[in-house]
Amino acid sequence: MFLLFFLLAFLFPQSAMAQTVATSAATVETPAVATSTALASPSATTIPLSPTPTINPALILFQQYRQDYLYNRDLYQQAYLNYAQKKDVYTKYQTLTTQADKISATKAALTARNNMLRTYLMALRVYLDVYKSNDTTNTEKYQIELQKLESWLSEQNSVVNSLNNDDDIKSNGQDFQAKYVTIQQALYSALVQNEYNLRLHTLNVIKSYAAEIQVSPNGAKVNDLLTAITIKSDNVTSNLQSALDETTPDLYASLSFTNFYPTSKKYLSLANQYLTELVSDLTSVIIQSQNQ
Amino acid sequence: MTTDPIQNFGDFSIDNPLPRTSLPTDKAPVPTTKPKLNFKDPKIMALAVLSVILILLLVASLVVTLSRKVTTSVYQPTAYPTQAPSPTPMTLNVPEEWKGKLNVVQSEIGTTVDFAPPEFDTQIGI
Repeated sequence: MFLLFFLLAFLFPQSAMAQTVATSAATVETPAVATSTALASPSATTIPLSPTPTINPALILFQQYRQDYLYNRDLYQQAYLNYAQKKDVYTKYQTLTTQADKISATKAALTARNNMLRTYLMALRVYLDVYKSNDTTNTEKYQIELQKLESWLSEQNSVVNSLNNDDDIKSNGQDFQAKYVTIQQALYSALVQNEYNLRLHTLNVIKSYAAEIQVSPNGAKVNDLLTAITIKSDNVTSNLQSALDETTPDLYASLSFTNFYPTSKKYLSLANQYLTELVSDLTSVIIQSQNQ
Repeated sequence: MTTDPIQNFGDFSIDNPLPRTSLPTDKAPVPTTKPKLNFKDPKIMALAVLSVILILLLVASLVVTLSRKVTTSVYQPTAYPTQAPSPTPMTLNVPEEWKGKLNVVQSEIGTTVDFAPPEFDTQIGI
């Protein structure tokens, strides 16, 4: 039997692999199929009709800008590899030809880097539109800042074109490094703001549902539970505010970037945890208000 | 003074004063007829059975490979109807009008808005 099994394993390696690939592909594809099936034809008896999900146009636009960014990221990676190669050749031979090649490759890499970063900031700016309505003022502030940085990066491309020697390139690189502190500050702040907007939107929805229950005929009977929801929602708000506070730049360390993002993410995660609890509480309130 | 002749490795036989000794030339007698296979021998039987199995498996694998080449050149998952997720006991008692709303909120909570910044070399040209 063992020999037979061995022979089978030896004879059907490809078939086994094909089965494994097919299985893994099916595993990957199944959730998508299941979701679409569930959305397309929910059972009338078991699944309630959920509100039709409306796709935010800003989200579609963001996906397009994101694709543009990913394309530019690929271009940068190619240009950077070429730059690294030309730099090594110049270091080895130190000739005028290899130096000219290196300068040309460096300029191409700098342009590709600026384009990649510019398209990223553009995509992020569009992404902020998705949940902007929850904190319009602050969101617009970051959008304006991002747009300014995009313009600066576009200008840098024309500056890079005019560079002709190593000294100029080095100077340009140092200018970029100084500016990159501001860029990092802006983009991470925008990321925090975006998640803040989303979580705040969810909190507002939960609050509106709680208010809806409160004004219902049975609302007075579950008033205590609704008060508990209000208290918990304060926890969400305070954590969200702490996440935003972290983005305020440190005036005494303006020459370097202080990475506040992990701390902000921690607060955002806590806020999300409270939101999960709020949904459970709200579900309990709904059930109790119906039973009484 | 007499010296004994020594047989060296490189000596030619013609110059070698020592008597030539003949190498043993006993050879086994060449059989004139081939031995017949005894099919009743258990070893031969086992070998034959294994050979038949091997050939059958080879033929089967060939058939399977050919059929798979035709049908599964590109894997396309079939959209089988999946069973609807059973509602949790908690949401079982929730009225229909609220279930949809709560589902939307829960999906929002599960949404992540991470958009990782690009990683690149800030030292280019420096």
